[in-house]
Amino acid sequence: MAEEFGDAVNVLFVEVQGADDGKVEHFCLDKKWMGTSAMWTTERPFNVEARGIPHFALLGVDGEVILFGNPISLHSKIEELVQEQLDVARKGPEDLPKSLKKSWKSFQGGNYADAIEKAQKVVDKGEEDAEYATGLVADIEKRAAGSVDRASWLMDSGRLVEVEDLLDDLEGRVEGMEDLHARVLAMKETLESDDMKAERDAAKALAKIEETLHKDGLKARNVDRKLEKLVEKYAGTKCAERAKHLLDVVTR
Amino acid sequence: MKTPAITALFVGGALAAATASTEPTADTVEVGSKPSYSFRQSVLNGQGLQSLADLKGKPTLVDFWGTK
Repeated sequence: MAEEFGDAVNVLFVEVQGADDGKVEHFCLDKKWMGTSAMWTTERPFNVEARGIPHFALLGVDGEVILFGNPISLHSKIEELVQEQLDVARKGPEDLPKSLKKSWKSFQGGNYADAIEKAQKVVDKGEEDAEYATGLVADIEKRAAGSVDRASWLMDSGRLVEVEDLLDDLEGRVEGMEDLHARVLAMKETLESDDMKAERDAAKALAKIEETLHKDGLKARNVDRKLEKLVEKYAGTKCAERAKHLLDVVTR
Repeated sequence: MKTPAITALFVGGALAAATASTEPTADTVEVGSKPSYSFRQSVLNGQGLQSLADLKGKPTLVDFWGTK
């Protein structure tokens, strides 16, 4: 399924046997499961009426539960429903007015500013689709703000390799959305400043170590020594803190 | 970035699994429900994921598994 859908599907694994985050991270590194876009948590966001594990819930593009049960016995059904949801994402919900199709297309393409401009025109006309268009504008604004918030989180946690591409991408997507665009430009300026050189260098060094860990798992050669060196060389940076955490996970 | 070996992860989870915790820690949802949840701690590889709402726009597979 992953080969078929790739990044088009979010995958969130929820550990429900009481392991702490460090154990889950250690376990995933050991199995070489990291380095994908799958996410992992020990917090159970909700329950479904299913016995034993593994079990799953499939959420549609609007966040609604559309299927749950055993992921192995329902594998084909999951694939079928995921495909349906990808179609919804591309074409829009069944009740999407024709007047908002172009806005939706821009929205799904990640061009938030253009999507809002197109939907706003429908709002301004004040015709029968205006109410739907108002809701769509709100959804687009929320999604755009969420993307900028995530960039901000990446910056704050020293994940500068990841944030660089995201900011380049977002700069165009939110152009015309004054506040969000200003936040993106401010982050880019900070990222490129001389003050951030040590953080940038540390981030690149840590990304290399993580790549090796993801590929070779806990048997990666000298990974603990490499992490120790990074912690020492870039002491005081956010990446050094992350490297220290990773060292704790690797050696636990 | 692709998400390779998700099927293998399911199988891995199955092999590692015993039984699910019987103690409910969150609301039980049905088909048609729209669960909401804000994460209290950082989600591993979540790239700043704050809540389930952040996952809207793509289908989301939530897989309940165990490390034991």
